[in-house]
Amino acid sequence: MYASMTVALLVFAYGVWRRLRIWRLGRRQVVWDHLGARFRRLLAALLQATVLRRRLPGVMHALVFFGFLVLFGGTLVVFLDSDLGIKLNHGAFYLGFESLTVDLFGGLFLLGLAIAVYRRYLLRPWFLERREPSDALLLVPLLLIALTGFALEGMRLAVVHDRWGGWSPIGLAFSHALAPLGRSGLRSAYPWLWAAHVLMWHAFLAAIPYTKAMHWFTSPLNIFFSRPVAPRGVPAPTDFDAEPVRLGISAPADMTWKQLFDLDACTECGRCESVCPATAAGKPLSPKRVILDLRDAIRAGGADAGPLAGGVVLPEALWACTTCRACEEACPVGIEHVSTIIGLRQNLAMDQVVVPPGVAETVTALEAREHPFRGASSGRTDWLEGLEVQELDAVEDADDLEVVYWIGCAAAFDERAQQIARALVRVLQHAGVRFAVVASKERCNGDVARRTGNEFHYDMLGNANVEMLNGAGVTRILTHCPHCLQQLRHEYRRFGGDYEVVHHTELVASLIEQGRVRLAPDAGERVTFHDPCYLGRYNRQFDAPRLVLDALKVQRVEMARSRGESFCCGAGGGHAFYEDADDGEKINAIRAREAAATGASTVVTACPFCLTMLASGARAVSSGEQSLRTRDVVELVAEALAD
Amino acid sequence: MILVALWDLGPAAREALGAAGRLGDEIAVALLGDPASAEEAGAYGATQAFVFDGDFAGSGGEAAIAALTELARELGARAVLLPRDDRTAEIAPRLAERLGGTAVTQVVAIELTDGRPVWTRSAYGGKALVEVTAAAEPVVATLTRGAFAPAEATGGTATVSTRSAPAVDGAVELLEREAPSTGASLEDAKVIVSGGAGLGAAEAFRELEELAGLLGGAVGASLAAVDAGWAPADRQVGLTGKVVSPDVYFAIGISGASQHLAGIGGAKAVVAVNTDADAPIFASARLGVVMDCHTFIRSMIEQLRSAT
Amino acid sequence: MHAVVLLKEILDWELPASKFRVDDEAKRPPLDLGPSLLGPFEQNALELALQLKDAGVVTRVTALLAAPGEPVDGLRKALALRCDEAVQVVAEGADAADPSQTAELLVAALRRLESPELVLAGRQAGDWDHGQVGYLVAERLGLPAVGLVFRAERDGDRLRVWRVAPGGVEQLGVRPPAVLTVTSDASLQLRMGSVMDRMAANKKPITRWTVEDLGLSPERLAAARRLEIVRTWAPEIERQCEVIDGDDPAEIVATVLSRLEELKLLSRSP
Repeated sequence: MYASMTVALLVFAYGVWRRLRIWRLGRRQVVWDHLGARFRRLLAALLQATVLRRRLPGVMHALVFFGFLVLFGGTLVVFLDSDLGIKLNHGAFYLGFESLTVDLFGGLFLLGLAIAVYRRYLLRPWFLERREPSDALLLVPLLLIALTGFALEGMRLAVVHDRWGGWSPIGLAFSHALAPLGRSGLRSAYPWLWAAHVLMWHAFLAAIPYTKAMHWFTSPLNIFFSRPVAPRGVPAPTDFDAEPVRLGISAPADMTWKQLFDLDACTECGRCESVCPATAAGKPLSPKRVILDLRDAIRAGGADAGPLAGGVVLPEALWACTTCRACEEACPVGIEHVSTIIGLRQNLAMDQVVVPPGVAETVTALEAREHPFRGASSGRTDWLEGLEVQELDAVEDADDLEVVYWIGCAAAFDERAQQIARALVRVLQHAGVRFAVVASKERCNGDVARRTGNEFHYDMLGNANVEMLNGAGVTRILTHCPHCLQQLRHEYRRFGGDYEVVHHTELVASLIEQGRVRLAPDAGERVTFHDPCYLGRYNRQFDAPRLVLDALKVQRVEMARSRGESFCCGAGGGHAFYEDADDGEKINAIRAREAAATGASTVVTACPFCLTMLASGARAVSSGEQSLRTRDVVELVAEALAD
Repeated sequence: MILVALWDLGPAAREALGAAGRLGDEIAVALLGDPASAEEAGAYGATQAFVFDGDFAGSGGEAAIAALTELARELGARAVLLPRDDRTAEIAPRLAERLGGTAVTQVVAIELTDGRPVWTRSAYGGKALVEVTAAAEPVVATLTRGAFAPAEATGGTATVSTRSAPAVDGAVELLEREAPSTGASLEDAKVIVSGGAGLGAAEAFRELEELAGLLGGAVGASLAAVDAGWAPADRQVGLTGKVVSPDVYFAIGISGASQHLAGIGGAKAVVAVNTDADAPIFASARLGVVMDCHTFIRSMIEQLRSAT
Repeated sequence: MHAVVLLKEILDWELPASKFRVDDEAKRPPLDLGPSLLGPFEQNALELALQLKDAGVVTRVTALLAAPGEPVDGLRKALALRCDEAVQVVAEGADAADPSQTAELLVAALRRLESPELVLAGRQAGDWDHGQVGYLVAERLGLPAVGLVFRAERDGDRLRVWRVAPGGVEQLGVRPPAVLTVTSDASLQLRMGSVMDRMAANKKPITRWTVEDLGLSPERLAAARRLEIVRTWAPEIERQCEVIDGDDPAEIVATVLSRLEELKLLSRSP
């Protein structure tokens, strides 16, 4: 037995070493900060909180997980007791744990496996990865190991007539079933069956690093390694002064070790795919496929696998991503798809120059005019016309300002978004907030460049903005755009920009709470709130806009997917500025239909890009009488000001 | 003597003759295209008309330039006027150079100051107007469609002479001519339905074609739509495309960049259809509709169909 | 075949009309009105040259630009897109608004460059919109020219070019050396270069020739001038749009049609 155990462990160790060799190819990534948060996430995951967010597979997993743990514990007790001579196995512990608990959890384990078989082979959810025979080769041995275990228990009970047999109810049932074989038959079959049980387990153990059972180890570790706090969804930094400079991900060595580790943490459950807006819109992207294709290619090709961008993962797939992070939110094992996808895009954009036409034009426009709105008919300060707002330059005492309002390109150049800025200014003036606008000194925050893989252009814009803001001594910034928020609050730190940044929903919520904003709302309108990805999933701000809506006394209803599970509007990742391959329904139409299904007359959001996308989505799905209004939260507030 | 070089005696030609009249000099017409209309030239103020034997299309612009150079020299023309189109764009500067004169393109107005012509031309994509004088004569000017009042028909007659087109060296040779991408010519259409970036896809242009057919008009496109590959380059309306002067110009999903507006100044009425109520196109429109482009096109097609 | 592309940087042509101003004294828009960018048709011409190089028709591409000072956008961009050489004529004493003077500088530079067999220019620079320089260069070098080209291929010992013409598209055969002026087309969107090429381009030299280097006397340059600007202004845009409003799309469309009939601009009845 120990010989086979040793062989099994050697094979296991070799498998782990092979994986380790791949992980070691990766670049540095720090995973030891925020330890408290990381351990909390790990604990929650071990308690099955993440998998249980989906009922059936969650229950299945929890049964198998806890069942296995207890069975393994039972085996360990036998090992300690009989092989190491640590006498545990007697009395109440023996009956309570080793007999009853292990027996019952063994039953739960079998039940879990049965659910797995039922779901995989009968329910067949579309997003579940299916690979035969390897899926069967994982389930069947586990089933057989458990069944042989029960059979052995049953044989023992049948032969020795243990008077405590009732403490092992399932074992007892097996003993009744096996009794017809007769004591001598059972006696002679027992060692063979025992050997088969042990060998099957050893074979399984040895196979772990070569199958997705590896996730037993990699998944919990990956949850620990994955970023527990914002910023999330950020690509690994590029050093343009390096020689040679690494432009995105082309080979495994271009990935961080955590990005490589992600690949081995995947359980192929397909939850990412089931929530991906690009997949839902019929685009050629599945986050699951990205991870699995990378994994398979790197396992097969090692360090030389590639080219990963454009080869292993096709350009059409990469350009379809909206960077909404729904996949990461859904992933029960902490895989961070988005940073890898952006890394691959970086290689397409900066090295291979394989970009959709709109991306090239947008980046060219960004470089020329420092904003992505081609053919804009207004300048950066046009929206200010008729408003008594001072520009930062004209402010004498900047320290006296409560906040500096960063407008963002959308409100400067898009006529619809200008109304958001004008509404917010009205609210700020009503509340007597001392503020100034940056307006004419602003450049694009660079999000579009960065999310489309054009880190070079992002770098230029980010540096220039930080230089300007720091030069003006700005410390507290207000923005109505979640993409500006993400940059100013988090991503500008790498350029030396460290600001306290509030989203307008956060500021307005606190102004209402302080009584500085007084409302006289017309009650009753039925509205639904669309969570912008970069406000919600990226910055975990789900409550502020809802608090504001509730203060407006509207009848707030939620869409089928909201908060962390919100479905993207389709604009993220630069998609507001380019079209990619799409044959199916547009993402914004899917979302608009979902909003309309709530019976709301207005869909409210808190991002100028979501607003544009939802408005055109609403037009696409509107059917004559039923039309869906689209508003920013602050527009409703401005309409309801008590004056 | 003012030489007016024309292809035919259509509306553009009559505008050029109207402009020539402002220069207060005798007018000669060179008809490079349709010789049958030579007689008519007299009715619009020309005293002489020249028609040519031979082919001007086979050598790019070469033969036309050679013929006009010869004729302008012979006549001692002070100015050569041409309607601005895709062919004269390459003729005018080269003709001016051969005559040792000055080309003035995109002319929208002519004034005589102390007997000397001051030419107003558009620049900066129509955002600027510039008055210029020429340092060397003759001036070869291309005239923007719709900028000049057409010459009225009078009872005059012109003496018609026939010349042979000069031989050219054959460095440029016409190999093939592709028919215009859709039926009606943009320059002559009474109704134009034009689509822009707001249409969103090439398919929408097929709907536009159906609509144009129902209206008996032609399909146009903005630069953005051509650049997106939804419409062929020869459908582009704008400063750098066709300059048109229909009765009605439907600008559907066109935001109204000055580039585009410069091509539709000659339209009697622009109907702007756009989802963005603040699009600059509305500033140039007679009628405005804030509506989804596809809804507009589909509803229009339905109503026109049911009317017939 | 050695191709030379004539480039020009112009005031951002997407500057909205509402933002456009003219400095009355200088008779042109002030320099700080907007960014100075490689013009759109120059971009198309550059792209066509690069495509001809990709296709092996052209073996060498030189970017040539005449402008005072140190223009940044056009020549660097050309080098970043793998043009073989970038040359600036430092155009002191010439007026960029005069196409004849510009052509004079470019002709002198083209004579100095080794035997260019193909000269590509934008159909017109989007600032002054003259549409003359390419043709003047052709005349002064004694070369044939074809205008408004949007596609070119090798066809035996000549080029087959596609160009926009009244009533459709013409395919012409042109025997090099020749000048082509290039118009916009979906296929001529200027490519985006790689970051590697772009960083390398920053280290490549830009050849700068002064007017004297080219052997042009100030007198000769002055004599090349053809246009005198009397006045430049931005015309007013008036607003008189009648917005047709309503709830029902069909009703709005019906109103549009009847309004057009009332205005005697459209007749639906046969």
